[in-house]
Amino acid sequence: MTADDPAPGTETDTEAPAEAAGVEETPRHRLHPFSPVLHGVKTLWVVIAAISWQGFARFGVDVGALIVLGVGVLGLVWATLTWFYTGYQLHDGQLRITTGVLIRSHRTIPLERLQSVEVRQPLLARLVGLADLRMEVTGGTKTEAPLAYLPLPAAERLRTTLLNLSRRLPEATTEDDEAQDTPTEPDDPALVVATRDLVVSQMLSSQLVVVPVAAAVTVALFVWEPDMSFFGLAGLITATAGTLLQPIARAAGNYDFRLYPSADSLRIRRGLTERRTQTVPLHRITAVVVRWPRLWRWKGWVQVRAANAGHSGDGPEEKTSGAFLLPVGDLAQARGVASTALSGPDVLAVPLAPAPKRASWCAPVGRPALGMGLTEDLFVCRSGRISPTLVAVPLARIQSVRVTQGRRQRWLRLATVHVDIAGGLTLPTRAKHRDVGEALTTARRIREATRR
Amino acid sequence: MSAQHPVWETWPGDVDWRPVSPRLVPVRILGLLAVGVPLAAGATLAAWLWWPGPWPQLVAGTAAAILLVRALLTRRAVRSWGYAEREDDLLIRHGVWTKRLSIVPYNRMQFIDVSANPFQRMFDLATVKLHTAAATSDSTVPGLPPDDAAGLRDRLAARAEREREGL
Repeated sequence: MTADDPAPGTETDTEAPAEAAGVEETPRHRLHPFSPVLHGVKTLWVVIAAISWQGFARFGVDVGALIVLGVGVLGLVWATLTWFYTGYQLHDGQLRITTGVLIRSHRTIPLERLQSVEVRQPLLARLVGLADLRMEVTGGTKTEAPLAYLPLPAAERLRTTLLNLSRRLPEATTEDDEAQDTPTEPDDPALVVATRDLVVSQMLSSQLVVVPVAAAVTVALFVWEPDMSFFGLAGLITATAGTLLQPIARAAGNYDFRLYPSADSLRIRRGLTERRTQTVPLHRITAVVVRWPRLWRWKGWVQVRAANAGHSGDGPEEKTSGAFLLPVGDLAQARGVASTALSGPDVLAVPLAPAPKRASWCAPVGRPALGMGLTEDLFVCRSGRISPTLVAVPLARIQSVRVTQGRRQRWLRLATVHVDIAGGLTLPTRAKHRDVGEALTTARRIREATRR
Repeated sequence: MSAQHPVWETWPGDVDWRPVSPRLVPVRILGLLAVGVPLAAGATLAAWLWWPGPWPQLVAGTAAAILLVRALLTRRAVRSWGYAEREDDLLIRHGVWTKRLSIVPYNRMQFIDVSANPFQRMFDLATVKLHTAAATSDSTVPGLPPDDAAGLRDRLAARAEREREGL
């Protein structure tokens, strides 16, 4: 039905020139014609994985190959149709994306709510010089409508345009042209993470420390009950693969990590197989998180992350705590990165007031790590005895303030100050177990500061 | 208004806390029973079917005791609710065991919900909920008579509008 019915497509196509009199109107664009092939290859992998070895064994290799081929061709046809009906267009400060073969959908992305733009090059796309473009919008639960795939220069140009439009520049068009002429990639990164440090840091992750324990258990099992050795071995292999996967993925994801700061945004480039370039406007950053993982302490390493109101990253870790600004580095680097991200104040120099001694009744282990600081424009809190985590929230980004007091806290005259920031990240943006008076004063001071 | 802990009253000094309607007590109790009674009945039935002896009575008795205590506490819980409209923010406090105070600046308000569940409608009450861009914001004022709720909503909306213009 849809293949013989090009009406929606042509309609939009003819509509575009008619509206082209508008200032920011650009013609409707298509994605790169090679995209269906890349998508088709992706489907092929899914099919192969779905059939798996068992399937091949049951059907026989030739039948299995036929199934794969058939589904592959179908996937390619579908991907081509999808490509044919997908288009995007800039219109009046908004990005419009049209998709859908059976059900047409026109999505409008309000650029003034753009949180960050990421240009991503998966391995295959990288080989043919293509990239996809992903946008994060305030309040979005997932990455908005990836444009896959565009030629790399086009993707970078579009990114610049989108970011400029998102700043709501009064003279967007002229500024655009200038920005497009200037090189999009500054040549000298402010920060490069050495591969050796990255690998060592991931080897010091808590997951890898578990591996020797698992090995010891298996050996013990083998000695104790030789009959169990098969299950032990299988278990060990599964467990090892499982635990190794995350650090390896993280190391590969952050491989060749480079940070390029510019006047009003941070650009992060990273990735071994999949090259990703993410641009985060500085005025969108809602919190900066500095973490001292326990096992890194003797190296003196820390990691820094930034949160924004969009949904950033795709790992479970990044979903809950924001995108890395520094996957591993020393304190001086962390200081630099964090101050750049918050444009100015040195987060690590903010004096932190410890929680009162009696808070040990509420947090016997964690009490010494608890701390809170408040400056002209930052709320800083620290928690975590084993791996201390410091969260710095610009006061201008605080949405609301809460003070809570549990029963035990009431007996001890303690209270917890929470600040709420936009976005779905679960950051510990709270100063736990403060003196009640101090907590209420802090809440009031934060409130007075956000009034400005 | 209950003055259980003076420090919650002192902050920020010149606040005129307004209570929610006492009619919220039956609403809350009905809500509690609507969930609690089927649960208790289910647990008792299960005990009666599978565990002979004194268990069914014990389960039923415990469930009834828990419900009774919760119901008795409802009164205090309702009385602990209070809200105060200030010049440029809204304060809400509540909680018997765990005390909560939340401060929502008008210029951070995204939208306002007024809702009423069937029990609230029976007693002619409504709930006003403020939404900010943060999902963790806790800012609900339950148990307002519909006129008060509408009035609060309109005032809040107007103030949010004014604050935004000031930006």
